[in-house]
Amino acid sequence: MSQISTDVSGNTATIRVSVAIDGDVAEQMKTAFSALPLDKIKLLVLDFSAVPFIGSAGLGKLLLFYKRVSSNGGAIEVRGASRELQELFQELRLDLLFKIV
Amino acid sequence: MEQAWSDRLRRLTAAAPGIAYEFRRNPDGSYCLPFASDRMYEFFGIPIELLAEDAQHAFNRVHPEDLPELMRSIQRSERTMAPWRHEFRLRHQKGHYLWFLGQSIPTKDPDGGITWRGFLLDVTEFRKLSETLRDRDRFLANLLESLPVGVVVIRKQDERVVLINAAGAAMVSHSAEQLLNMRCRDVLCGGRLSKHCPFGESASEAAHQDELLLVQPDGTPIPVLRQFRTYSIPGDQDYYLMVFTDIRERKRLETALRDSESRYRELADSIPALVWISGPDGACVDFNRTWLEFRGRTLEQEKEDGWLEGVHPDDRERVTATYRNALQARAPFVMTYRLLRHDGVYRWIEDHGVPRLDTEGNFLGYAGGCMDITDRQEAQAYLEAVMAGVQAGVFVSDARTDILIDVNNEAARLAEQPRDSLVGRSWRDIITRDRGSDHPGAEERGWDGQIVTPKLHLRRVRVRETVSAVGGRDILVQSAMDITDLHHLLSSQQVDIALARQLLDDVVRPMPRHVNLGRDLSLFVDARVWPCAKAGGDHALVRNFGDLIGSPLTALALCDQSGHEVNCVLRGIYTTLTLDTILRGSRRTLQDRLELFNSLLELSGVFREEDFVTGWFGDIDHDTGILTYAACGHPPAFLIREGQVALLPDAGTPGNNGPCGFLAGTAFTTAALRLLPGDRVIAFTDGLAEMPYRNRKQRFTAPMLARLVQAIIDKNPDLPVSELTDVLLATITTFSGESVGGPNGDNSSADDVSILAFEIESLTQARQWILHPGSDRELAQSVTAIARELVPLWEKQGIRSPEFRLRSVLEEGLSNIWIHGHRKSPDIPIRVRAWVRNDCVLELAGAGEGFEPERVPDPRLPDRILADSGRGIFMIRRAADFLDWFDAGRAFRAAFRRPAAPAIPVPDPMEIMTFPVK
Repeated sequence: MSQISTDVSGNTATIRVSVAIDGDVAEQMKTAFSALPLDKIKLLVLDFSAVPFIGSAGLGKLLLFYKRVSSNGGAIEVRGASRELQELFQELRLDLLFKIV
Repeated sequence: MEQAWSDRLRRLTAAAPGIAYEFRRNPDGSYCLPFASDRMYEFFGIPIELLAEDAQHAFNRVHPEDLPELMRSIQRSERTMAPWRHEFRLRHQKGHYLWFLGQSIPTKDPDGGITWRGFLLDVTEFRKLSETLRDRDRFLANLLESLPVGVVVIRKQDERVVLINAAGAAMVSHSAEQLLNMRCRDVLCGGRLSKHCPFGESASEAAHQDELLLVQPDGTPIPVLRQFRTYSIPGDQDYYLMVFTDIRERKRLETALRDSESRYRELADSIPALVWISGPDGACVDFNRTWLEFRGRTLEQEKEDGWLEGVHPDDRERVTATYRNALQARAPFVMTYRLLRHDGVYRWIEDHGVPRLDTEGNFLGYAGGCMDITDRQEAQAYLEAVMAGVQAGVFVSDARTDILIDVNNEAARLAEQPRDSLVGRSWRDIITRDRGSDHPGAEERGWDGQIVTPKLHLRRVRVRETVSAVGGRDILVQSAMDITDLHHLLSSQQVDIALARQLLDDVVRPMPRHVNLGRDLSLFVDARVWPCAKAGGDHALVRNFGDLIGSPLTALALCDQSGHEVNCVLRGIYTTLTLDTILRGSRRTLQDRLELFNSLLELSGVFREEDFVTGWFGDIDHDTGILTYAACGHPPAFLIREGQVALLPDAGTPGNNGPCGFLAGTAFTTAALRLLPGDRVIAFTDGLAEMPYRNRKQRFTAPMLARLVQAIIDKNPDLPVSELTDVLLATITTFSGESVGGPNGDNSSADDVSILAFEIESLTQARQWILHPGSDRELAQSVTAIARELVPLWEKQGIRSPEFRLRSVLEEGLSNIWIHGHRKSPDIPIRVRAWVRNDCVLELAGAGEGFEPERVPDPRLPDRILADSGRGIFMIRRAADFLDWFDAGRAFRAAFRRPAAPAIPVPDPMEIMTFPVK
């Protein structure tokens, strides 16, 4: 199974990650994101239900996604984040930017 | 002539009493009555002529029971020709029987017959009387024998016993038969005349009663009461009638009564109370010695109503009325009055009277006891005056039930309720205690609280309370000072003890946890401070000057600021800042720094005259491993080395000093030793040693605590110093009945409790990885490999979320070193080490220019939230429980605190307390 998969449905795009997001995986995420029809995306869903860990590189990529999507009037939703991930997002105040579901 | 004699004879026989008769046995054996006086006919109603022919008519009138013996008596007289005499019954013509005595003299007739001539006398009444007398004799004899007293009748003439009953005989251990006709003196006195013998000198008395001893044949004397009288029987002799009553039981009771009275008297006279007894009429009949000595009068003077003369004139009428009313009702009573003492001073007396009854419930009078309550009255009056005058609200309650016994006027004012309405209620209904507002004190406890009045006014109070045993029960005395105005002032000035504490904590932070000493050694430092009621002044200060060129050292200090209120905490801040400044400002020796520290504190003006700070101070030279230390008015620290505990400093050795901030210019001394791998050191404030005092009234001396630590080490030789601290604290808090260091960091004891512990950890056995990553992927693979190895181990150590936290540190730390430090060069090695001892520690060390981690901006700042990078250091700090940077930011140690170890066997502190001090 691929570590990263994407899905586009209408103006919603989903990036699903199934491994720890270290620096290497973060770059792969960026590549996957760049392949999306960014001008049509209003909602980017990040499915982190299988993500055990995210490093600062990964977080940096999320913010990159946020800037791109929000500039088009879109939003980012993080789904399935573990308790550790949720706490991390809250402490870094990223929950002000992303909707954590 | 013959007729005349016959007539004369008839007249004589008619006049004579009884019945004159002739009774003949004919030669043929038949019987007849040739002659009978007229009474015969009067009695039987049988014509004389018939009787003259045949006496059978008379025999027919004999009682059937008497006839056989009558005939036998006649036949005996026939044979012997002796005078005949017999008593028998004859039936009167009216049908009833009468007793007759027949007497006659037989003569032989010429024809061979025998004629008896005599009289029949009516003895019916006589016989009745005789039977009556016989019955009475039998009755008297039985009565005599049944008497429990000895009855003896003695013939005066010859002193012989003529009558003695069984009880009397038993008294002299003989039978009545044996004693009859014995001489009195032989019976009663064993042959000797006793002085009370009636035959002795006092025998002239007609009636007498005395007590004497009857001597038994075996010599045993029996005390008896003897009553005797003489009596004379006309025509007979004089006799003595003696009645002996065995009075052994009476003597025993008399003795017992005497003993009882003697004991009563002894008891009554020994009682410190004034005791009196009255009779049924209420008149006093007895007073004990205490009463008489109190009054300075005799019993005769006090008896009856004499005692009333001592009652104060103003109290006399009331006392008399009270006593009289009680006497009428025969009820107990209590009265208080003034009684004149022998020295002319009136004393207040509390008199309790109780009715006396005999075994049948008859009223015998009163028994009374009195106590001099003058002192109590005066004390009560004094207390009333004090309670009225004291400026704080005083609440006095039963410590067990919390029910108020008394309050003063100020308490009533605080509560805005009358005093009477407060007494009888729980004090907790009046005063509500603030949580966590305890103020420590060894003998007196204090806390803050509030009173909400019925009108919903809120009063803030500071309460001091003590418990004292009074009259067999524990009394809680609380004084409540109205601090409402002060509280408002403090609130308005926003003086906040918690804020002051937080400031102090911020000043002392950050404190190193794992200091790199080089040479594969690490200094682990664990500083724990539990303030008392969150307002204590204890503080620990640890500063790592490891990056100092030439003399890298770590400075440690554990200080105890005098006092406990907010100003104490503020002074603690000042103390710490001063110490910190001195540390940072120069490389003076510890001795120099202490002397400068002392002088600065004393001269600063921040310390009042009574303020001071005690502490244990230590410098660890990273290069030499030498620990230089000093205790300033402070308990020594403990060094645990190779299973032995030593004091640092020991008593009377260099390093012992007075407190700091007390006297400027004081000289200080230090001591030093070289630390070795495995050395463990524990310093503590006196709150730990004093902890048992509040509940157990015991303290640990330093040697006692050392023995306790030794006992723990003996059972668990290789205990890391952090766990040793846990066990030591748990042992002492459990022993003390206190709660210190729980999840909320509470401290229920009376003082701050602080422990500064450190250990020289050897890293020779640490796991190690040397990395040369050439790409992000290789770096990521290294992270994964190391995490894969360490996560299970740390999970086993109980580390929370080990994978996330470990990966965070590895990912960010390695990235930081490789990207920023090594510029992604694969040639520069990155060293990763991990070990478990006090914490689970992960060390990352690289090369490069280094950096100052504290200068990295906080990614949470508004202008940093959207930044693509800059979160790595934050995430490392977030993941680890402790983070120590060294080598100018090129390396760090991230420590993960292990959860508290399971309970291990601990020694009994009581054994330590009671073990003789070496």
